[in-house]
Amino acid sequence: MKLKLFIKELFGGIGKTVFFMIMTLLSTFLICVLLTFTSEKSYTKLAPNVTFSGQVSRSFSRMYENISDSFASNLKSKLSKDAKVYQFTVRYSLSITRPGQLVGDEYMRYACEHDFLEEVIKEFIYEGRVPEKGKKEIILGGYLANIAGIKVGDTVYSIDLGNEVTGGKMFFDVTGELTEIPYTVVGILNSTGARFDYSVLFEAETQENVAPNVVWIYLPTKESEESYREITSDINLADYDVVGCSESIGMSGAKGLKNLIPLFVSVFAVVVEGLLLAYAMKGISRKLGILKAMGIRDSYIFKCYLGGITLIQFISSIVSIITTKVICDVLNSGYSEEIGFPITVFHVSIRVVLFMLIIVAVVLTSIAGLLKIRIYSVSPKKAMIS
Amino acid sequence: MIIQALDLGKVYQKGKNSIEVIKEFNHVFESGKMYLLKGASGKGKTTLLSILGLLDKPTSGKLLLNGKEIDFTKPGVLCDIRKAEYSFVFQDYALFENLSVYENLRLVYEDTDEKLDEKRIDDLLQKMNLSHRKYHRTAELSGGEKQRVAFARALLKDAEVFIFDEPISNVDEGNAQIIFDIMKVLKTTRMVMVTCHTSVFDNICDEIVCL
Repeated sequence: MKLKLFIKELFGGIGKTVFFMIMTLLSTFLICVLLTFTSEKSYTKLAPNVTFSGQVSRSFSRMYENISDSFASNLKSKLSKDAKVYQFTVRYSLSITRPGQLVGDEYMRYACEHDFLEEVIKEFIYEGRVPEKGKKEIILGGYLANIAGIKVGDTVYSIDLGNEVTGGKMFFDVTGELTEIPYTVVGILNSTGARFDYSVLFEAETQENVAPNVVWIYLPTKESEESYREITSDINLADYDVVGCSESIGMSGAKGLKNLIPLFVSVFAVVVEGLLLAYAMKGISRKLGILKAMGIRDSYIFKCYLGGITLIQFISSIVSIITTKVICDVLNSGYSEEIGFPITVFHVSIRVVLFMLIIVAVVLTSIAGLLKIRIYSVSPKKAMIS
Repeated sequence: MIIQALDLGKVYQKGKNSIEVIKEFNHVFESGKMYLLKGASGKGKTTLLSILGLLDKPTSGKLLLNGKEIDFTKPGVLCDIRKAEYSFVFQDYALFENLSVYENLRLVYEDTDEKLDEKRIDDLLQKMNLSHRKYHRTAELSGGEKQRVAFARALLKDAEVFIFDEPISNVDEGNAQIIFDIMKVLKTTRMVMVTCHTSVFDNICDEIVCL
């Protein structure tokens, strides 16, 4: 009876109730889409079989290529303590070999300090672990692992340049016989390590003796980023024979905006719901007055409204989440078809679902306050006035 | 049941102007009698009925219910008294147009411990010649039928005080007769208060209260 009373009368009739439901559904859907597509999409595009949930790390890095030996140590001395400076050897290869088969794809091979693997790469590992020190183990970028069909535990063969390497920092003169050395794949990276999507990461100790040619500066905090910017002007790259500087995951500045999104959508939801409710309750005073005159308490009327609105809110939220998931699936399917393997670019995470629930709670709490004011302010005398 | 009005007054404030609608009204109302509140338009009939029906509060004076003063500052208590002791028929029927006749009657049992009495509803509908309309939306009914539904809703409750505000303003002669008959029975055991701008109730009421 409560629900009938709510739908047919207190909410201004079936027409207004349906309108309210549709508008609530649309606003909830908009919120769900906004939450899903602003917090989940980054850096998942090229990562195969990887589902990335949560926000992308705000830390970012600089990579200086073709460096001289003293460059890394000079940077280390100038940067703040939380900034991390690593050096490693990078070279391009044209193919990756797997047992009995040559797969013709370009990839990058990084011979890294073990600290770099532990301190930076570890957080990007989707499956597996960091190579153990001194062991012939490697980590693969997600994209490379997927196109080559390599899994954790597989053995791959790396062509070693040997110790007789001379020449510049990017092009080498190699003498002597090339050998294939087996490595065990112990980890595959997720999409957040997008720079390494096409990469193989070795521990430097297990590799040929080629001088480091790249310095990686990892700036995990805002302070370290500021410290880096402060000293940038002091560094004359020409002094160090540096030929390239590139920036990777640069998300600084987006943090504040992203944090505002939940607040924005909450306010949006409360405003929309409040306006809809005001519209639905327009001209309802006499009906409230009649109910009160009949001896029906304010709390009963309040429960009628709140129960009805709660039902609409929850149905809208569930439908929105399901619809968003369907949209995500369709988009993912499109991307997968385009790339040639199944990937998850967008998905409705638990975080989004939880946030939707929080928004529903915020909306209902706010609406409950407005409802109470509205219901309790109507005098039963309204029943006497037609 | 005895209702005593002691120096009741009601003043409406409209901007800087004060309009005194009721001034020092004194009267005793008892069960077993029918009271007709009469007066020219604007004399405060509906306002007085609202105060006597605990729907509005007076600006001065007291209202005693069985000798106990009513505290108008407690809406919850007033609501409980209305629920237990009062039944109303308002102007223009005051029905919920989108609900069926049956649902309108069922509302009487909402927010109460009283068990839904289907038989009593059916009996009343039969008495009011509305059985065939039980599941029709009240919006689909004629004026006379709506009026009878409003009476059925009022009679469904075993109230002590029945308040009728212009109860026959929109009914034809035949329906008016049904209402007269109901009132005649009611007034023998209950307190009935009626406002009417015509003299149709003059002969059946026990007392005319002029304002």
